[in-house]
Amino acid sequence: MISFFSMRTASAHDPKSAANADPSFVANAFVELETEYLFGFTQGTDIGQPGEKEIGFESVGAFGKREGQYRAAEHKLEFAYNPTDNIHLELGLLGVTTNIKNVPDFDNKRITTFAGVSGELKWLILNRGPASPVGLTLAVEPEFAWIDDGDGSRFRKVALETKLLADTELIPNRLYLGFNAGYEPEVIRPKNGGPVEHESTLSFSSALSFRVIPNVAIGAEVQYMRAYDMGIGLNHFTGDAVFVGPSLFIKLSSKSSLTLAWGRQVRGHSVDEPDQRLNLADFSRDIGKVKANFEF
Amino acid sequence: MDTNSKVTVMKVQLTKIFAGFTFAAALAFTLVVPATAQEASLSITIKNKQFQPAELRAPANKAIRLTVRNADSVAAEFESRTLRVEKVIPANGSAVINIKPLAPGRYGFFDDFNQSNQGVLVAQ
Repeated sequence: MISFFSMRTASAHDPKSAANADPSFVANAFVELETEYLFGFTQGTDIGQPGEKEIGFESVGAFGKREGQYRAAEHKLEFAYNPTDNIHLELGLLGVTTNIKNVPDFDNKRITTFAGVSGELKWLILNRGPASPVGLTLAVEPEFAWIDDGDGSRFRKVALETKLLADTELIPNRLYLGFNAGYEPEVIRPKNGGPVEHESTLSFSSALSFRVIPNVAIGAEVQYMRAYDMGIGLNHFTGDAVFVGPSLFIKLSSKSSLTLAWGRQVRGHSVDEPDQRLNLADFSRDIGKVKANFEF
Repeated sequence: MDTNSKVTVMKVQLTKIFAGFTFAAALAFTLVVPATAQEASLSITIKNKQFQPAELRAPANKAIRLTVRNADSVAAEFESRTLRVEKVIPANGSAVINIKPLAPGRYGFFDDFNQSNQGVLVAQ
């Protein structure tokens, strides 16, 4: 039994096993790449390695309504840590910038301010690799905010975005396909004492990303969003929209990356504006994202 | 049966029960512990900025204890997304990396400080 307990793998321990190694082993210029920030708006399933710490800055902007000048963005400074090999935790500070002028139903406002805090828990359910060609991750992101990132007004918002992330490598280490499905209920209390609003959003996105050179990937992304009000359970449909756009991922160094993405609304429908081709009541004409990430 | 006889019978029964539990525990230990105690030991060296050997072979579905020695005078970082590993190996130092049991397949790894230095662990 002792010999059974102390059994070691002969092929692994035997120095001759090295002789079994493929002498023609050639290093690949396209070394494996984490997909977490690869796609743009769509998130990849990778979460980093256990014990890894990261600082990131993300800014997501919305631009253009039917009339006037509309620019709004939510910024996030985040700190992330992986306590185990399948859990990713994140804390974030939120900021808002709005520049709104002559847009119907909006107050003219130009501010940049601290707006709230957020957290994120990711659970890597399936690690993409020899055991599973598809990666799968569940992400839950609570958010507490006191400035509306859509119009800069003061309120109290509690939101809980839940996303299921999936991705795969169509060509190993070169061509990646990602898919997200998300649901986000929100409870909003206006600061001026108005009625509490309950809203929810469903979102689906899919992205392709191709590494043209080892440190640069370009991609295309499509997003479909559905907005609901009068409850947090997808109660009353108010409109939907489809966004399409490009993405660019640059691996600045082995420990840092930059992601840029843009989306233009190509189709939309609002219950309030049934004759319009785009839904600019619930969404903006364009959306953009910048994300910088530093691992340490 | 007098009192002494009853005590004796009870002692015998308790002894049998204790022996039974001991046997069952030993059996369980034999059946369960080896599954976790079995561990494949591998070692790899980084020399002249190359993994030597560049290809390792290990049994599938068995925990792996991988010793990485760095014979170079600069630090290296052993990293693999599929193996869920990232570990700095100091110059002229070594580190032990514990890898969970793997499904059969090829698991690439590389030195994140020198990405042209790559290798593969084949679980079979």
